[in-house]
Amino acid sequence: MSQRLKNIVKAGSLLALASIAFGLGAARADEIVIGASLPLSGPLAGFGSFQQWGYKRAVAEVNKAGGISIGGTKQMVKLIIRDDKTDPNAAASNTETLISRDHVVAMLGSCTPALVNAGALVAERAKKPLVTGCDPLEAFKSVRKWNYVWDLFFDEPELAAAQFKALAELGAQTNKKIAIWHDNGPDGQVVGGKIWPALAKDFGYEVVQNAEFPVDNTQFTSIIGEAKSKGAEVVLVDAITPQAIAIRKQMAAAGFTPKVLNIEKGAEPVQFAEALGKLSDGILVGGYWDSSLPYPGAADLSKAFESETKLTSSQHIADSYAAAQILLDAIASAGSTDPEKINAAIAKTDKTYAVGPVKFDENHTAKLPIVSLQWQGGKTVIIWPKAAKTGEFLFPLP
Amino acid sequence: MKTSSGLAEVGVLLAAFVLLWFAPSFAGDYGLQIAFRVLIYLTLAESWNLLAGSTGLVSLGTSCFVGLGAYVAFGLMNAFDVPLPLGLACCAVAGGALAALVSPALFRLRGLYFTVGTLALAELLRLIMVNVSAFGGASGIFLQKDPPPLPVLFHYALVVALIASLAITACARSRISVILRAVRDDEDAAAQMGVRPYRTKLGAFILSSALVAIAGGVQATKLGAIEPYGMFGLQWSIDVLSMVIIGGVGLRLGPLVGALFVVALGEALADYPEAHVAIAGVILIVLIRFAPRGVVGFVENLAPFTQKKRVAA
Repeated sequence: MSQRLKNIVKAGSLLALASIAFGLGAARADEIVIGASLPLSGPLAGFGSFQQWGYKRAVAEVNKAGGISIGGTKQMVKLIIRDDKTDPNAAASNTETLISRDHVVAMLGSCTPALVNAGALVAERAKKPLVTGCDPLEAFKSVRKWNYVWDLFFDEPELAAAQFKALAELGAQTNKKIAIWHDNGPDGQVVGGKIWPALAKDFGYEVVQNAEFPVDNTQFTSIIGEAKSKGAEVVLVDAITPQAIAIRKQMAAAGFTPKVLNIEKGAEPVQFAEALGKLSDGILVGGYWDSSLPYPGAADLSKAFESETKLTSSQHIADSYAAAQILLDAIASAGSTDPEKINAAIAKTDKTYAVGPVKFDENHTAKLPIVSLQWQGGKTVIIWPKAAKTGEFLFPLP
Repeated sequence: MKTSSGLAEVGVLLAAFVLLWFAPSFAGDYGLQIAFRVLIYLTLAESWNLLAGSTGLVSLGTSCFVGLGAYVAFGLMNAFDVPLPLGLACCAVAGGALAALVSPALFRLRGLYFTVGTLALAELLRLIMVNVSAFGGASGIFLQKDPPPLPVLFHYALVVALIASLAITACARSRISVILRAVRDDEDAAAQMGVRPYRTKLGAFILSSALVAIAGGVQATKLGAIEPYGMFGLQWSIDVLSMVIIGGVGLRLGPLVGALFVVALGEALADYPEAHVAIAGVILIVLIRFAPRGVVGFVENLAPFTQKKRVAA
């Protein structure tokens, strides 16, 4: 092959790849464009995949029903999703692009305070409505007074109190000595650093240990050893899933089996139980949704997810599905793609969705009802409150 | 600046600056967003190229100074309500001061050991920020007042990029360039010839770190919220490294072309969230296979072919 031909091949290869990369799909004028930046890769990819499914399902349902009427004309909804790679910088730039290039009329949120905040601050400045779940309400409220951003999720104080109430009502007998282990993330500091110690006092417990660790810590033997030596029979943990798994395994290795082990946040996804096998049995976790709850579409949602993806469903399909439905309902109610009118319609939301009743307060937050879940045989059962109970309380921790 | 090519380069830079200054009046919001990102990346890449390309100090500590700039800017603006220009000047001082502070330890290391040392420094600072609640811990901190509008931030990014480019031009087109290259090629031989390697490396490290810290301050101001995992994330260091390698290490236009390529590629592939990682990987493999000297080097290789064609015609 001559040098000239080689050069042409090289240039052609690069041009071909560039043209693949830059083959953008443009939105049509008769479409309602909404956008979302989600963690589809990186450490939070698990959450992002659930959210993506929830958002897409809500949009698909609306489009299947003929779209949304805007000014007397039915328009289809186009959802543009971008991957933020679990990076707040990318979440912010994705939101900027969705607003400035794709001209979205409104947005759906990402997951965890850092990612939601990064995108929400951009949407707030651009005066574009954004509805999100997956961001604990106290962490959400602490950022600023929101005007265009709305959050439906659990309230940290309610979640923190749920297990204390459950233990009291279920009559769990312990020596009332508590060890609290929590990460130093936004919700970890709130729940483990402030709320749990205060609640422990109110419910007559003695906090024998309160240990804080970085979000990426992997070694917990010294913390476990201290709790064991102090005779804690109740252990409350707030940590992300990889740490939650490491903690349970290291507890087993150290021969430390308290009577009650509650792990918030990290024990939510099914990957937690899959990684631990029998070690997950008996672990408590606060929850805001289960397909058995008596909300419209809750059971169908879980079945649809599992039949489509062949995966076990997660709570996150419910809040993301509801967030998208709330936004789409607001657009329909406004009958307009004007962000101000959509924002005003979101404020008036008062309806029961698959995730539960949703009505936003003056802080733009809607509290989702809390239940106490327990892992039993690789699945969660609701053990509290009594009205929603789907299984018996396994006590003490096996 | 002694050479005419150097003066010409300064002229081109100033002309580009003047032209881009008026970009907010003709570029839309999206154009400005992209231009802002390119300018921030250009500043980082120029700074990194000064260290690695010119001085031989391959650093993986870019994120350390990006994060430092972000936290200094937010801290000063929140606590003392300092105006942004003063805040950014303080970022530069902080970046330079940290570089000077750690250089006695880092400069004891050479080659790959220096690279690992800068990586350790970035991790150290990230862990400090994560664990010290006075800096907001893992939750980070928020800018208490609203950041300036995008056109204003674009002008800040433009000025910072111009300062970085002029500084690199001054280093590349003057006697300093010879000194830097002497230290890069053989530190001990350079010392025998009367060059002071420590001072030379220190100067380059301080200048580079100060520029990176300012860029971090501007980027953070635009975000309005910072936390250690994002601002001290290794991604900054990897992005900068990728940009210079893609553009062309040691080539004057390498950082600019690399920054444009990385931003454009990221934007284009973001529309394919399920496949963007795979597509980016394929593009980079092809690029490295066919253009090992980067895009600028690839175009330079094509130049003789183009000339021959012209002659033949």
